Amino acid sequence: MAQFEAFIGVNLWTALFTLLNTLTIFFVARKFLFRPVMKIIEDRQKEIDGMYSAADTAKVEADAMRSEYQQKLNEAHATSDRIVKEAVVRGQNREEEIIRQAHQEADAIMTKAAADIELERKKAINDAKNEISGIAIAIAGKVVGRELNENDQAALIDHFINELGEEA
Amino acid sequence: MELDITGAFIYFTIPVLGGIRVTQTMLSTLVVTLIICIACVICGKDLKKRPGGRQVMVEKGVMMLRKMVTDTMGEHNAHWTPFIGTIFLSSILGTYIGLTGFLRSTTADISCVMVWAVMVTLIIWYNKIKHEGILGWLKGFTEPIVVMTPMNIVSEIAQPISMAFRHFGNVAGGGVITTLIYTALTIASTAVINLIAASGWVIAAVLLAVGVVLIVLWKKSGKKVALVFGIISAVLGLFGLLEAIGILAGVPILTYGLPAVLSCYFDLFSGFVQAYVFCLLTMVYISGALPEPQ
Repeated sequence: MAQFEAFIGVNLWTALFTLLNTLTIFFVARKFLFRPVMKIIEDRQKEIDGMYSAADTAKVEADAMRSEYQQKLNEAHATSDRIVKEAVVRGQNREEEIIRQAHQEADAIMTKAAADIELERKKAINDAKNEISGIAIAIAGKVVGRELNENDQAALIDHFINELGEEA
Repeated sequence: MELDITGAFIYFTIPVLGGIRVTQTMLSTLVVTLIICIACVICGKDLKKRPGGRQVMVEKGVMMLRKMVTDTMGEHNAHWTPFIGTIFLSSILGTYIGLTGFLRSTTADISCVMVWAVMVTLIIWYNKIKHEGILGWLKGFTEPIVVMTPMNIVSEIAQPISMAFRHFGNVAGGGVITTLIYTALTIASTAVINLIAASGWVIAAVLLAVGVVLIVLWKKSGKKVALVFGIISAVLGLFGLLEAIGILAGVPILTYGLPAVLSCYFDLFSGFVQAYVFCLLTMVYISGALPEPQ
């Protein structure tokens, strides 16, 4: 004959057994499931937080470095601009100096050339004078037929030619 | 047909200490304990910071339980999660283990749920005495006015009883209703088939024929109504015929279908809701006994 408990009735042994089982489940679940899982979740959370703060720090550092580099770059640009400007100014000065020197040299050459020309002209004129005076004396000698005092005549003729030259 | 509504089956009695009755509930509890413990050990093994698929599921489950606890009890009481989780898992698995058919739901035994309820009450008392002192705890019964003292004492005693009976009643009641429905449907199907068989095998054959015709009609026209009535008619005719001939007597054909639908509600849904409600009440009572965080 199969025996059954009453539908509603407390069996103290069942109750005790249930209590023991519940406590067993509690300790096993806490030790093997809840604590390890919560620990790993917290560890991961910490790691993620650490990663985020490290990333933030790195970002701040990178920003600082970037602004620093930017500043240095700007300084370098300014320096190069200054150098180029100085070079340009120096070049211009040099150019002007060279041109001025060239002008001076050219002027000197021109002056010298003019002096040479003048000298040549005077020499030519003198030669011509001498020639003409010689010819004139010869002609006058022929025309007058008499020998003049050569020095007196030369002075006279030079005077004459000079007057002619001035009139011309 | 007889129908007995009884408690757990007693396998045998150990004849010591006035007779220890070893019941179905004990076996179920043992099975539940083993399942949960093994599952906990397996789930809590090889945890990594970079979780695999299994660990994600485990973490999700644990965090759901933790969230359930912290939502009700507050973040500072998160360390109660293992206890609430134990009650929740034991309760829900204890209810669902009845679905196996040969093990009885542990929560359908008042001995089991009463233990949990009493545990909760003792925890509450312990915490109240710890934080208010034994005099402060006793003084709490006289509040708000001294006249209320008897009622306060009654409500303190009634609390675990009501908790236990709520859970027990829902699960055991579900089981009783399922049993009743099975019995009723078995009686009804026997009656119907006997009626057809008693009318003679000609009637049964006609029913079978009509059923087959209706099914063929459904094949051609596609009317669902024809299919439903066709199957009912054909099955009734077939079993009526078999009964009339004398083989396969007493097949409870009507017990197919309906009990499964009802079981979904009474066993699955109700089992979950009662486990949740029990845990919710546990959390509310315990957090009520704990002092607010500084």
